[in-house]
This record gives sequence, structure tokens and C-alpha cells, in this order.
Amino acid sequence: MDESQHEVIARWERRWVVFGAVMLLCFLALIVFVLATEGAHIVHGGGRLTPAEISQVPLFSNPGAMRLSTGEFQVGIVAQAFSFNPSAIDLPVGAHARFYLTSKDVLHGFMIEKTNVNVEVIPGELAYADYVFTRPGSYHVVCNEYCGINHQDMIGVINVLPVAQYRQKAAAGTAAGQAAPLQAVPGGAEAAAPPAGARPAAPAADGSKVYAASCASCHGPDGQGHPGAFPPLAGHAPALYRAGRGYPIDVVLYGLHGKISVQGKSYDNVMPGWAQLSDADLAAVADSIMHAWGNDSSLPSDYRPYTAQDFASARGRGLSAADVHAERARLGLP
Amino acid sequence: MAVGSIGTTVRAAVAWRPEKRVTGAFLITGLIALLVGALLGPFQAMNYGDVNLYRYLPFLKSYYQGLTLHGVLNALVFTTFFNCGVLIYFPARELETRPSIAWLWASYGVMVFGLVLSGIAIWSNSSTVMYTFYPPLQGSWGFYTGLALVVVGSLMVAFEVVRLRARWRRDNPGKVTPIVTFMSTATMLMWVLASLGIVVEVVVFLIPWSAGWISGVDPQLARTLFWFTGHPIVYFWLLPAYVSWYAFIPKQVGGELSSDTLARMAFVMFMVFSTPVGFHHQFTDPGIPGGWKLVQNILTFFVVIPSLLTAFTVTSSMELGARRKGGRGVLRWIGKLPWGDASFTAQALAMLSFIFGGAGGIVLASFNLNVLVHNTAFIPGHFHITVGTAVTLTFFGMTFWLIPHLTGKRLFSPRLALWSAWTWFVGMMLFAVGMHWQGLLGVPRRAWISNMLPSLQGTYASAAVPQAITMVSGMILFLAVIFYFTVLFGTLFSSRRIEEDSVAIPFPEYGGVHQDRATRALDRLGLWFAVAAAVVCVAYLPTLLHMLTNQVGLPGLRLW
Repeated sequence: MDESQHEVIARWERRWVVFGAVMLLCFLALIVFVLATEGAHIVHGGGRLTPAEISQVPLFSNPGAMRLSTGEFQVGIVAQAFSFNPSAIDLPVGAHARFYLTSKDVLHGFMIEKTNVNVEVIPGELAYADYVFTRPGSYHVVCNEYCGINHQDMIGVINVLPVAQYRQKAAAGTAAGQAAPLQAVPGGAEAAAPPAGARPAAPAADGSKVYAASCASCHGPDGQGHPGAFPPLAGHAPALYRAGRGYPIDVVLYGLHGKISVQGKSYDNVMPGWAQLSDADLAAVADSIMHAWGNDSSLPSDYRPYTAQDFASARGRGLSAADVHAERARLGLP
Repeated sequence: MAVGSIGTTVRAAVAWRPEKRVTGAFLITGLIALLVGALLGPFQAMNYGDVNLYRYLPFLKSYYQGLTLHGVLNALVFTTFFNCGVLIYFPARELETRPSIAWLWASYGVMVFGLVLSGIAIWSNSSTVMYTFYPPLQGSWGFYTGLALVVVGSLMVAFEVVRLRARWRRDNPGKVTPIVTFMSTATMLMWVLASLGIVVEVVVFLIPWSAGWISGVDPQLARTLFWFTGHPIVYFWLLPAYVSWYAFIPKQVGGELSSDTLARMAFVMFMVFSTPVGFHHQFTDPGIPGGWKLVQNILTFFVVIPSLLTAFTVTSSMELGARRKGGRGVLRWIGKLPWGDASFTAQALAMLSFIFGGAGGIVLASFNLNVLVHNTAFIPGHFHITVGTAVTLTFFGMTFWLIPHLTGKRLFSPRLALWSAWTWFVGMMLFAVGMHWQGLLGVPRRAWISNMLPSLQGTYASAAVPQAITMVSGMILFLAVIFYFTVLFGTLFSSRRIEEDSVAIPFPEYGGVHQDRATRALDRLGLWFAVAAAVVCVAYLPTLLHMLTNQVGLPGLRLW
């Protein structure tokens, strides 16, 4: 390489690096500009919140969309394997929504398709992000962080409805994913008081619908479970009833964590508690499981259907998932 | 290729057999890991074509177990073994100084033991936690211990590289380090600093937690420590490829390195700016203040500069070679490059893929654009044309001369080698198109989308076209794997010996290293290491200290 060649190369190299650096500076300026003017959708930290504290925070003990007096919506959502609670939410067009998110168990993602809402939902952290829905339609909410064997099924939906339709549904109490009505206080989330006791009695719950929404992702749509990960309920639930009628109630309310054996196969996993569901829903789903997939044939003749009252009176004992595991051992269940 | 060493000078080719053996062991182990991992690749691609072939793999419990194996073997094991093999061998040959063979075998042993421990853990489905292993998902202690040992072994090799250079400097006072040794040492020093995050995460938190000695780990802290290492590790993968592009490719095309000083500057910049950038993987994390995310966004853009330098310097070096062979015109000289040479072609295609990979990287490093595609299929699309092609295809290209050089065996079917390079390139580019596109349509990464609940099928119906592209790419890549490993094993098991060292290392021709002030300043790697550490402290300490003093320890969960 002679000197003149070297000169030419060096000159062009300088130009190239200056060009690259100027481009990068332009990109940076754009990034800062966009963040400053339209950065609301960016994830913000709302401080620490341990999974154990979730049930004490009104946003999450009474999750769902709530219209604030300012006309904005706050939407509390709890992510847990493998569903969002609530998993379907109705909102009106034009809603200024602030999504509050936390996780009960492991890392999850919260991504609303066709928008730029994308949140890493981390247990121990409270996150929030804002979005204004300007177009009606159905938006999938996708968990985009690996959270376990049924991660792919952790999908919710936000239905953005025309305002009139939303108002009509809200007034009739049929809008999906709404927080129990409260006296909303200006100032937002922190000011909202928890509902007294459990949620108001819902219209007669459909147990199979509750099952499909909350249980099927682990225990399977047909109650067969997931080999190696989650036990079947088909052919198994009546044995739990026979061991102790109260035991299934505790499992559903408080979860179960520890090594168990079902139909000769062992499982070492965790089931979250579902205390956030209404007593009526819980009773309906428990009863429906006891009768589904041929389970009814092995129920004892004196079977007493579960009632909302059963679940209401089992609440408030503060059991841990490990306590329920100990209860299981006491009942002689493997 | 004497650079003027004394003392332990070793000249006869035959005398390098111990180094060749241990380097060969590192490379072959890494490549076998790649073979196992890459054979699972088409199953992953099929999944993203909405076809579930995992049901035909009875030894794997789920897509997620296969993906964990794929990621750990390809991204962590293959790269680390390969790097350790070449980054000690090239300096040893360049300096003509003998490293401690026993120490290298010990490092290799530690890494293999780690690989076996992790491998058993993943194989038994006790650790289906992906290669990012975010807590509270909890793998077995063997998984974490094994990975830690792989890192420890690589740090042992790094120690030997640094020691080799120090010894040479002591014996050659006042001389500037030869370029390959300079680059290798800079890469290893960068890795020493960068690995700190994962070492603390695994040794202080995850191993005690998985063994039951501590009850909880803070997920946000663990994630932050992971990405402290998780981004610079991609430069640890990439820089050995850069060594080949800067130092060997010019000779392979009959040109010369157009600027020795700029090449060194690029490596020093990588040393300083590779590590303080991990937050750009955490733009959507709630537990990191936005201001610090922006700081690391800016630092990430700094690390683009040395890659821009590389793109220019390497291309101009190739152009010099092509013009010497009579290449003319603005672009016509490209035709004069040795496209019949599989080693060159593989690496040229690798460079080409990195143009797109780098551009996508700038998108991902941009705070506001990142949220559109964070954790979507866009991400695997991106890293399969960076680490999966720019790095891997360069390593393939290197093995086409390096394996014959190390083993004294003739390359099995150069024509098939050429085919393997092209099929890998075409397959990966198609894969990238399919995955980037799916990501833009909101398809998440790492999801067993071919096994969704019946009620959810059709969720990603809008992505049918890119899914078909991804599926086709998986089939092409399967062929590429077959082609490449046929060449590799064909060479290894060939009986056609060639003369010892008749395939020489294509070290650059020196008109003498520039001994100017800039080169001397760049040669002070210890000083640059200190600068790098200082930048890392500024970018990370405030956030990390806050996290360390506000931990929420959570128990482990197994959800697979």
C-alpha cells in the first residue's frame, strides 16, 4: 500500500466515522425528543410490592378497570402462571388507561398488540404504563416472558368498545374485567378503598367458564393436567373430596406448594391461590370440576355441592401454599 | 513469523503439537455442542411456523426444554469453548511463546466438567429455565454450578492470555504488542470485567438458593446482574470473529490491513464500552430509573462506533487485495475476491449479515423503539444474524483452515464447505426476515405457539406469511448443519494427512508495527481496563447499590 492510497483510505475513513457519529447523534436526539413528548407508554416503576402484599393492595385485590373521577381509567392486573387477572377487559374508545401490573409468582410479560405498551412484569415490583385507545377493536394481551410450561397460553384480551356500548354494558354490570364499583376518590389508585368483604354476589356463575378462564391453562381443557408438571383433575378430584370436603376449598383459595403424587405420578410444583375470584365463581368451578369428565361417577352418594358460603367462611385464615401442603399430608393424601 | 521473542522461543512446527492438541480439544468440544444445539434449531423454527414437531422427540419433555438446550449449547457453550481455544493459540503462535499447557488442560477440564453438570441438569428437565435463567424460576444447583464452572474455566484461559502477553513484554521491553495478541488480550480483559455480573449472580445468589442455603433471591436484582454480563458477552462472542476479520482476512484475500492503529482503537473502545450497556435489555423493567436507562442507551451507541470502524477498515483491506488482483470499478472489484475459497466466503457472508444485524441492534438499543419489539420474535431474529451468523459463520470460515492446520488433515470437500456457508447464510437471512416480521406483528419470543390451547389457535393468524418463511428457513438451516458437520467430521476422520503446518496461520504481513504515540497509548491495556472499570462503576453502581440494599427475596418455583 503506497502513501497516496493510504491517504485516500484515511480520508474516507474519517468521513465515514463522522457520518456514523452524526447519524447516531441524530438518533439520540430523536429518542430524547420522543421520550419527552410521547413517553407516557414507557414503563415506570411504582416501587416495591412483594407477592405476599398483593392481596392487601386494593388495585390488585380488586383488580380490573375502574373509571376515576377524572375520567381516566386505572386498570389493576395481576399476572400469574398462566393467566392475567382479569384476562378480559372492556374499555371505551378514547379511554386514557393507566395499567398497573405486578406478578404473583415469576417473571411475565405484558404486551398489548398493535400498541407500544410492553412491560416486564417482575414479582416484587409494581409497574405502570399509560395508553390511550383511539380505535375500537379487540387487542390481544400477550405474555412475552417465558413463565413455564403453558407460557404460550397466557393470553388475555382488551376489548375497546364504542362509548355507548361500553356505558350500556357497564351499567348492566356485564362489562368484562371491571373492578368492583367503589367510591372512586380523586387522586387515583392509592386513595381507593378496598371493598368490604368479598365481591358482591355475581349472577349465577358458570363453573365451566371459570374453569376455562382460570384453570385450564395448567390442568388442561379436559382436566388431564400436563404430564410431569401439573396433575390431572379428571378421575382425581373426587378422591380429594372424600379425603376432606374442606381440602379442595383450601387448595383453591390458598394454593398448594410441595411434592405430591397423583395416580402414581409425582409432581413438584406450585399452584397459586385464587382468592381474587368471587366466592360464587369459586364454588361454581369447584362443583363443576367434581362433576366433569366422569368425575361424578366416583363422588360419594352424600356429596354436598360447594356453595359461596363455604368459600366465604374459609377466607381470612392467611394460609400459605405450604400450609395447604401440610394439610394434604395430614389427610393422608400422597 | 517471528516478532522477536527470546527465552521460550519455539520455532519448529512440530514443537507446537501440545498447543494444537489443547486448542483442538476446545474447538471440537465447542463444535459438538453446536451440533447438538443446532440440530434442535429446525424444531424451533418449525414451532414458529406453527408446526409442533416436539411430539416426535420423546427424549425432550417440551419445546421449552429443547429451547433451553439450544440456547445454552449454542450461545454459551459453543462460543466460550471456541473463544478459549483460539484466543490463547493465536497469541502463543504470534509471540512464539509457550503457554502453560497443563494450566490450559486444567481450564478445559473445569469447563467440560461444568458442561456435563449443566447438560445433565437440562437433560433431566430439572432446569428448563432458558439460558437467561431468570429467578424465581429455579433450576437445579447442578445447572448453575455447571455454568459457573464454564465461566471459571474461561477466566482461567483469560489469565493465561494476560500472563503470556506480560511475559512477552518483559522479554521485549519498549515494543508494541503484536496485533493479534493485542486484540486477544483486550477481548479477554473485557470478558474478565464483564463476567463479574453473572459470577456474582450465580455464585452469591443462585447456587446457594438452588441448594437451599438461602431462601430467596430478588428477581429484579438477579436480572440486572445477568444483563451486566448478558450484553458484553455478545462482544466476547463477536471479538474473536473481529480478530479474524482484521488480522487474517486481509492476508486471505491478498491484501493488507489498511490501518493497524484504527484496528487497535476499535478493540480498546470495545473494552471500555462493551459492559456499561446492559440496561438496554431492561428498558421495560420497572425497577430501573429511566434516566439511567437513557445513560446506557447513549453508551450503547458509543459501542456502535468501533463496529463502524471495523466495517470500513475490513472492507478497505479486502478492496486493496481485490484491486491488486486487477479488480476495477466502484463495485466490480468485489468479483475479484476469492469467492471459491470457503473460508473467505463464509466470513464475507458473515460480515454481510452483520450489517443487517447491527442495524437491528441500533433499533433495539433505542429506548423508545425497543418497547415495540421487546421480547417478541424480533429478538431471536436479531441475534441469529449477529451471533448466529456473523459470529458462527466466521467461526465456520476459520475452521476451514484452522482444523487442517491443527490436525494435519486435508479439508474434506472444499466444495461442500462452500455449500455449507451459502446455505447457512441464506437460511439465517430468511429466518431473520421471518422472525423480525413476526416480532413486528406481536408474536412473542420463546413461546410454544404450535401447541396452544384449541381456543387460542389463530391468535397469530396475521403472521401466517412470516411463519411460512421461518419454517422454510429451518429446513434450509438443517441442510446447512448437515453440510458443515459432514465437512468437519470428514476432515477429522480423514486419512489424508498433509505436511505439518503446511496450512499456515494467515498472520498479517508486517511492514513493522507503527511505533507511533497513538499505538503506544493504545497498548496500555491495563490503563484502559481501569478506564473501563470506572465507566462501568458510573453506569451501574447507583442502581446496583440501591437494588442490593432493597432486596425482596423470593422462593424458587418450578413451572414446567
